[in-house]
Amino acid sequence: MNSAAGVSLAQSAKDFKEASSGLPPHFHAKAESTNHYSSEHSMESDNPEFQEEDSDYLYEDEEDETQSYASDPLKPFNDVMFHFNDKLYFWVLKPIGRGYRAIMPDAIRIGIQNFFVNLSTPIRFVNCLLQAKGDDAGNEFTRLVTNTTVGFLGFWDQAKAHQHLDKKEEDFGQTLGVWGVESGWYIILPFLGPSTLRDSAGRLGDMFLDPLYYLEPAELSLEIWAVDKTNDISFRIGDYETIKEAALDPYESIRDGYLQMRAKKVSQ
Amino acid sequence: MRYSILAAAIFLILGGSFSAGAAEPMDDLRGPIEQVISILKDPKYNGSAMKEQQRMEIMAVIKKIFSFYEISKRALGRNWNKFNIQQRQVFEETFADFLGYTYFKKVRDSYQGENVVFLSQEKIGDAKAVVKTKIPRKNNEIPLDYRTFSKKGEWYIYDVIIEGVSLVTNYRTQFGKILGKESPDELIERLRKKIVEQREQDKTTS
Repeated sequence: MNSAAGVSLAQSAKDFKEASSGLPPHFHAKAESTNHYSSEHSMESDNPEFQEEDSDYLYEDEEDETQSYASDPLKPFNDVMFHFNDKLYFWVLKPIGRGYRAIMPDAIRIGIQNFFVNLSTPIRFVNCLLQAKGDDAGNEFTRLVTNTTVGFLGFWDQAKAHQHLDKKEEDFGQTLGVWGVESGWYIILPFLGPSTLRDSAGRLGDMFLDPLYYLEPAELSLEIWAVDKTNDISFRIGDYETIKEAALDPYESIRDGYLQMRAKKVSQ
Repeated sequence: MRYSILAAAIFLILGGSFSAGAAEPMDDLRGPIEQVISILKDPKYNGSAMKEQQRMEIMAVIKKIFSFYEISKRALGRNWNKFNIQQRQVFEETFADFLGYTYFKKVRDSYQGENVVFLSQEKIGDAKAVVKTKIPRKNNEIPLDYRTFSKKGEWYIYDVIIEGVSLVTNYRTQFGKILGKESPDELIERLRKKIVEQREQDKTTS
């Protein structure tokens, strides 16, 4: 077990060949009796408390599991959208994001991100209130005042730098969750990515709290939205690739990851 | 004389167990994690020729604090029972290597000198604890929690939670889906193929 990883890879490949090459049974029996695995595992917990709970490990988080497996009736549609968004990312968003990142200095990109975060304060502020989180709402309000004034229209996050106030990521999807609305079917939205019925409704609700929505003409609001998204993507190039590479089943990995992340956010 | 030897023996036994019992999960993790960071930062590994060496040294440290046995067992969940002893062992080693390759590549490619900030530890009974950390980045920070259990007074990691997503649960969902259709050996083969893929990708990019 302590052998270097490269060696242990070779070893495990060897094990695998041996295991699958149909050796006589007595050979296996012998191999097993000398195997530290069957007698005592070096890292197996010997703490009674852990062991005791350990006997339930098979069923630990069973709720998560069933929740995660449950209700994907839109799978055929989602498969198509998954494929669409995947191509959209690799063919369009990633090249744009990289080009943008190449010409825009970090400081400006961060400033633009701060500006849009500041602009979307109403979404977080109202949702804090709807979840009866008064302190968090106050936090958002203070941030808005500080960053809009001292932070020069939000380009500098002075509230974080000097008052140590982090933004509170609340949205209407979470608010509905706090109110007891179940997440509902998993759905992959074109352009927007993973969501659920509840969170899609949440997005729609938040749209009306977004100042950009009220810009006239509508084209202008769309253009500015595109700037926001491009800037955003320029920070996240590579994340999607990592998730995909780390997954044996990218669709399930992303679905489970999204549902876990949202459940956690609702509980906070 | 006899008594003083006895006293010394008692002192040694009790003292030993006290110090073992007093080990805090955060302290147990801090050393090795900082060691990993110093290996990442070490300029002697610059250049692709030293990549494999660096990965192996990091893996050696990782294997001291991660219990890949517990990680494997939990990532398979109920399907653990479908694996015989040999398959379990091969799975554990393959899964460890798979995770090692995948995350080392990611961390190395995107590492920009960040340090890990240890935030807090929350004990759940005597045998389990969550150690909370965060990694400050240019424009945000990544919350990273470690689920640990204690064995003989030392703490080992059995799950990592990145931004609220449990790695073990995430793999359990995927493995569950695959094992609904395929055999344990086929799952191991899939992991093995991913490792080979990543090694080849690494070669072409470096």
